[in-house]
Amino acid sequence: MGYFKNIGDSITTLITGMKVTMGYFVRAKEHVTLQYPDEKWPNPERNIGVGELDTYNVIRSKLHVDIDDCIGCKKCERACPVNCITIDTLKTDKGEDIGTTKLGTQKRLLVTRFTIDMTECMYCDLCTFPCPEECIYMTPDYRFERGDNKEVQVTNVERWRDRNNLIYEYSTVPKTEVDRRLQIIADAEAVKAAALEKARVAAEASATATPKPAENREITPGSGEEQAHE
Amino acid sequence: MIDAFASWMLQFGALSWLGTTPATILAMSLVAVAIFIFVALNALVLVYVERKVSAFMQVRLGPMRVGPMGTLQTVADALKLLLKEDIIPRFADPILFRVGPWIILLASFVAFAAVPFSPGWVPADMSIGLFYVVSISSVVVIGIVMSGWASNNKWSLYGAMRSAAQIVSYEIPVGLSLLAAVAVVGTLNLQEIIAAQAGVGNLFHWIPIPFPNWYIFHSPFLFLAGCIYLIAATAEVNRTPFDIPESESELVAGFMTEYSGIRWALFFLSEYANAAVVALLTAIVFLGGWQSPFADLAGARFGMISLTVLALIWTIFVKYKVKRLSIYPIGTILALTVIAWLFPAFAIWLATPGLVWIAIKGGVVIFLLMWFRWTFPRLRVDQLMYLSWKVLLPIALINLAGVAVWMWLTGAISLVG
Amino acid sequence: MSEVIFWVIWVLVVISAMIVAYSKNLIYSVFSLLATFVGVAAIYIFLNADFIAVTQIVIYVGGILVLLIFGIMLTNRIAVAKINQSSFQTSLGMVVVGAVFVILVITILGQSWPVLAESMDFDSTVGKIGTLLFGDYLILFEVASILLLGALIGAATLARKEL
Repeated sequence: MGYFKNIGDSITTLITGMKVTMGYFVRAKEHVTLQYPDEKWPNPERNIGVGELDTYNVIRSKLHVDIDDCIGCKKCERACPVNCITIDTLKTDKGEDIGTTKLGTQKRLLVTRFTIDMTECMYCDLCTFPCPEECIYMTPDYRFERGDNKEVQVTNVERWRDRNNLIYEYSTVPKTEVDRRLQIIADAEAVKAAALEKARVAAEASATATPKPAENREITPGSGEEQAHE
Repeated sequence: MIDAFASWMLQFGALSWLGTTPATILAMSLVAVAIFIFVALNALVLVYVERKVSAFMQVRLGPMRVGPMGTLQTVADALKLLLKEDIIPRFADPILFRVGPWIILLASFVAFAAVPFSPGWVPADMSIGLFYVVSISSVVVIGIVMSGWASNNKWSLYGAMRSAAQIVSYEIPVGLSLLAAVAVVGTLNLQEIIAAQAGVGNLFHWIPIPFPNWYIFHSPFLFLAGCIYLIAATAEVNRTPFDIPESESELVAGFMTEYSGIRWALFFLSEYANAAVVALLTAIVFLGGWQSPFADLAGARFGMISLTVLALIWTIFVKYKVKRLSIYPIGTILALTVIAWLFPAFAIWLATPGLVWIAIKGGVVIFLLMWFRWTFPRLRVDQLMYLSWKVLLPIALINLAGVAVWMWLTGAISLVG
Repeated sequence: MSEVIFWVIWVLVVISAMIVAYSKNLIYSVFSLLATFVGVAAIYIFLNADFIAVTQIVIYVGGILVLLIFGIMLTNRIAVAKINQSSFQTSLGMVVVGAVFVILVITILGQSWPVLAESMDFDSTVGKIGTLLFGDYLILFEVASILLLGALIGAATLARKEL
């Protein structure tokens, strides 16, 4: 009687299945999964092998810079094996005070650009050791998403630009300020160049007065400027 | 109900200038609007409940963000659906594509016309109410086939074909199982069917345990008929495990693949309206409709006993599993039981409103449907036909004969005369 | 009020029946049959035949119409197929139609139509139909059921693979 056995089997198995789901239904609150954005697992503690520096014993998930403490020495940029850090600096005016770091060092350079490309960073931690101000370090924050989420600290000025853009800009110097300082430098250089031009014209005038072999004086003002700039 | 409503309206001075005919038309429209609001709210609430039930059965929390405990999530979804772009495929049939969803909604909407919600509260008290509800539900299949064909999409057409075959097949077990109850009561009028289930009697006529006179407790055969009706009706409203017309893993969304926005919302409205009709019909025919089990003294005693037993079972078996959560239901049940023991009249008063009782019974059946849906895997097409034609149909037929034999044994009918 | 509803239904039935007859698209014909059947069911209700009306919906809409739709939709390229609606033998046809029309008009005018003074109260026809079917016309009912059973067995036999 396969027919009746079939019916009986289906009834018993269906009841078994309904028991299972009802069990979950009644006790759902106990078994429910982690509600991720509201609650997170704590980051596991882990020894990353830096010896006595217990305070810096974190999972390396994101590279972070305390830009207020950066003196723009570019040691981390040179230490990076994959060139994911890019730093631009500008000299400050004489006598201008742009603050001190947390270790008490007077800052001399204005860091106009400090970008970390997190798509290239390989979390080797080599950049953190040369830093004289201990301002670049790894954080356990593993969230790379952008958007209007208040929990995510994004210092990027153009945070809405591109969701896939993982180049983090840490410099807080506004673009107008950078432009102003560059303009001042350019003006000063223009004045200098004008003075040089004047000197050259005067020299040429004196040279035509007293003729000399021209081959030795092939330096143009432009190439001289470039060499000086580099 | 319409006439009573119309004459009630004419009592007021402000409305007495209406004649009888306009008052009747106005009453009809108002009742229709009320039913439509019921259908819409029903879909809103049931979608939320379904998401919560499914979430709990799958160890999730379900919607939690919009409103307290996510209660406004379906409202937000409905607003989103209203605002979405209404896309009609270029090669779809422009007329039938637009008409199809409305026919489906209309068919499931007019079925409520014969459903008694409370004593005297039935939009149209028909002498053939049960037959009407069953037959008008079968019009849904035309709308499904229409929208499936008009979409000009092979998945839609497959879904429509499957749906038509399924609904036509499962109408027969539905009819036969309802016929078993009709054979007992001897009428197709839903109000009379409910009225026949009043009071409290023995379980299965002979076992001396007080149970309500509901047809599911009338005889083992009617119990079986109730089970068959529930299974076949689940198939008729295309719910999982019988949802092959819209099986996501094979047919994208079946006949509603090409629909979006407001038309897709119409499909949802009608789906949950159908589920509500099935639940209400089960409650009416097999669970006593708006009859309260505690409506008289014997019923109140039955209620007390059952509540006490439930509370005991809960305390013994469930308490240590649920921990803190179990205190409130136990407390409520025990308090109710104590009140019922002390003041039977209060229990009867508590038990009278029929609207509450039919809502509770319908809600239980709908929960059962959801429980099915989130437990069972989908049937294959051939298994579906096998179940209908080779299992449910023979059992329902034998069952019908069994009901007749049972009635002869209990003396409800006699062979002579 | 009921007269207004009656005429609305009348218009529905006639228009949908004309679509059935004159539509070039078979699918439209089939789906407008739905309106025709439902309208006819409504007219049955006006005749106090509520059971017949609902039976009409069950059998014609739920059964036969679905069968028709199945047949048409499973046919290849049905939507593109053009139906030949042109008429032949127009003059002869007009003569026949005119004759039938004249006969109908004569019959209708010659009939003395009974007018009900009061609108009839509804009384359920289910019990009466049941008593008649299983009392006076039991033999006919059983013969019809045997006929249907024969048709069913025949269809099942024809559908078998190993004929």
